[in-house]
Amino acid sequence: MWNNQLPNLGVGLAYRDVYRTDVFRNESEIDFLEITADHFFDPTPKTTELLRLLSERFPIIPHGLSLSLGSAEGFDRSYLAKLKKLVHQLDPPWWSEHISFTRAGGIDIGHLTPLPKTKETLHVLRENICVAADAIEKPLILENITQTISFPQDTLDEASFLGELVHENDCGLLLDVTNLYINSINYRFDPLAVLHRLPPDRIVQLHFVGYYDDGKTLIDSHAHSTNPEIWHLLEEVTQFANVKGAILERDEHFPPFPELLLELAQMRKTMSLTQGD
Amino acid sequence: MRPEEDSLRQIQIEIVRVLTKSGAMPINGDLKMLSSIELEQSRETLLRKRISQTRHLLPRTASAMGTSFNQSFREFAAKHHFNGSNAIAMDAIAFSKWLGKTKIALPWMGQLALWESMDCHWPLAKIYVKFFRLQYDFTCPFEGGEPRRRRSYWCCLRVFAWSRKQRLMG
Repeated sequence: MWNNQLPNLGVGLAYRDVYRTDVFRNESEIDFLEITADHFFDPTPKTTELLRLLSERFPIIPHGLSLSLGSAEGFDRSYLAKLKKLVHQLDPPWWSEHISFTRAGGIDIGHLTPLPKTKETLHVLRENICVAADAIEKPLILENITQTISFPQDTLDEASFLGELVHENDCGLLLDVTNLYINSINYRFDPLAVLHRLPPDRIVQLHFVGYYDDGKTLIDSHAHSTNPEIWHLLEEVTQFANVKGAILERDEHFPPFPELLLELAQMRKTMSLTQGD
Repeated sequence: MRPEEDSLRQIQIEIVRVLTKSGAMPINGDLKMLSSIELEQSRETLLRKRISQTRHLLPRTASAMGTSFNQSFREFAAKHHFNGSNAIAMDAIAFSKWLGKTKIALPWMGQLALWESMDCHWPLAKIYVKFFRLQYDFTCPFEGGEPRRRRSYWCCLRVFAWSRKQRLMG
């Protein structure tokens, strides 16, 4: 089993500054944190001190936003150098990035943009991941994003694309369960069918949060509490794979912190029921 | 680069162009088949993200302008797009300058935005300190004119802050 070598981190939170005090006050109820790596590049003394305080109390997973592993023109080496420095500083069990591109033609739009699901895309990803893995000697896990554009060039389906990607590159999968559900509704496929075709030993970490329904499509707003459908899918995922950690991602409409703690407790219960911990 | 990868590169360049230019549609043959609704939604998502980030950096201006903040930013974003890791701060600075120049907002709103955007300059600023060494020979007249001591002093020639934003935006 590929992920047997990795430690169980439990259930945690995507760190956001608005919750700084709450995170420290509720240390015992948060197993680990995920930080957005980009926010800690070129740190000020204040940021350095914050990172030191957090890393003394929690295991921290750096989560990159803009490495742009899917860019056919290659990626920004200075970004990789900063990421490498941060990973070296934190010494996490793994680090994560998205299966997307953010830059092309020298322009970085700072927005996760989907890739066509083709062999060529897999080739580009392989070349870029190879460079990143040479620089950062910690296991890399890759996150599925919300599919906002469907490409006529697609030759692979979601499960085949993700499966080939992680096998070819010896990577793990950060399965964003909310994104899987949103894509399944917006593009009309069965999320369980996709889930059961993924390699279970590669599913290392989960992301979960609620979605927003605008009446036409589901939107990955990171602004709502986890919906019942997502909880159901989370149960299925944790039965299917021996996941090592789950992170609640909230970026907008921040609720009182106890509400987030309730969601973390529910996720902890889901994981312990299905995985027998 | 293999021909297939070059094709992927062209697709990505085209998508970036479409997502960053208001009303732009694909001209690449293969991409003409992309759903215009999906592209419009993606462009809207990107724009909303920029608005949200700028509101976060200019909260008082956003509060003072109310609903016209979003509309003004949309007009601004149609002509301006910044690149790289400092794009968020540069958006806020450029938008506040733009507000000051246009007739959309009341004059004091432009001034408020400019004042608020002062904080955004820090992430863009680089401070250069240049040191040089002075060697100073101290000659003592009572010891036959022999150099008595040679001391080196590190002197700070100049310290100045230079904003990348100033260079890029004038």
